[in-house]
Amino acid sequence: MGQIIVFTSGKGGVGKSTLVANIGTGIALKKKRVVVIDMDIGLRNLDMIIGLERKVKANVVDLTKNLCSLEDALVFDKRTHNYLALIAASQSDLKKDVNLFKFHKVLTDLEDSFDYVLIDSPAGIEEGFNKSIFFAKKAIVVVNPEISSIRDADRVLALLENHRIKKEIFLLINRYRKELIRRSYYISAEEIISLLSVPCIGVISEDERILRQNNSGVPFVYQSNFAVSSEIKEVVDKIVGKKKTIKNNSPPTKSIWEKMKKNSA
Amino acid sequence: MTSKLTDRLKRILDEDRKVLSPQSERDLRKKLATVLAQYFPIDKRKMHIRIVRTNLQTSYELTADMPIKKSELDKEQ
Repeated sequence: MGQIIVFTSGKGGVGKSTLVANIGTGIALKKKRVVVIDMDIGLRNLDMIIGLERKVKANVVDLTKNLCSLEDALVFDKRTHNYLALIAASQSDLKKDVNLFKFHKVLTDLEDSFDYVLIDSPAGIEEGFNKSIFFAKKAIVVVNPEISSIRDADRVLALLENHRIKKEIFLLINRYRKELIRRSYYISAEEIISLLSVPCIGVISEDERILRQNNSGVPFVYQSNFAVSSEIKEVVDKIVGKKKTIKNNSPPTKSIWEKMKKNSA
Repeated sequence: MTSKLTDRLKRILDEDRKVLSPQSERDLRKKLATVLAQYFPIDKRKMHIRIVRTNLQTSYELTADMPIKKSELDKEQ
């Protein structure tokens, strides 16, 4: 049974998609099966950051509308020996076009085939956010060390805490710049954790090379000489922990496995 | 500077985490003042009551500042 983890924030532009792309890739490089789902319907980006945009033939809205099969919507990443898969968002539909019950069915199918299902939630606390968080058992709230981001994270934390499906909640501090903390422009990680009273799963530094990596479609976690890659790997280790791979690394389902073989050919 | 930033954020979060509406808060303050005034000379203008979500673990907390008029307390004693 896979683990469904949602990445959310409230505020936009905090680096959710970049983190999902890199943590997903990091998990895959540990030979765990992981699927990342872009739930930012209408503003699709995760496929570009991972570098799989040219292989996307169907999306999550098509899936929930029964317009394609799961195998059609899954795009596997050869660089990770197909341990990483992506389900892209639709660029032309709206958030309301995702049927929650059908999305649940999709997630149930994915849980059977993958060790981890990472959901990239859209910014805000409206429909897209609600659908993204609904079935997740674990939530990672991405926050930047600035007061607007922390304030929005606090609101999101309250919504997650009061959700009908209980969730394990963690903070992930992103775009951390120690020199700006020293110059008192930013709030320190310790203060953020203390104010929000939620365990922190990691602190990821700001690095301008991330922009170059995102634009070129190569997640920065591949660059072992980047300090920020090591920080992502630490988060990956915390997520993966001692959790065993489902079915001892045996093929998830015949159809998905066939697709993986087809893509690697 | 950091503490100024943190203090500002704390004030913002306290305000956001308020549970009562302004009207309910006014009603509660009025009722508490009426009861407490039977025992202490309360300075009603300086009373401050809040119910806030403190954090995810301990949920809610009632805090109340109710200054007593020292001069009147001395007179009573």
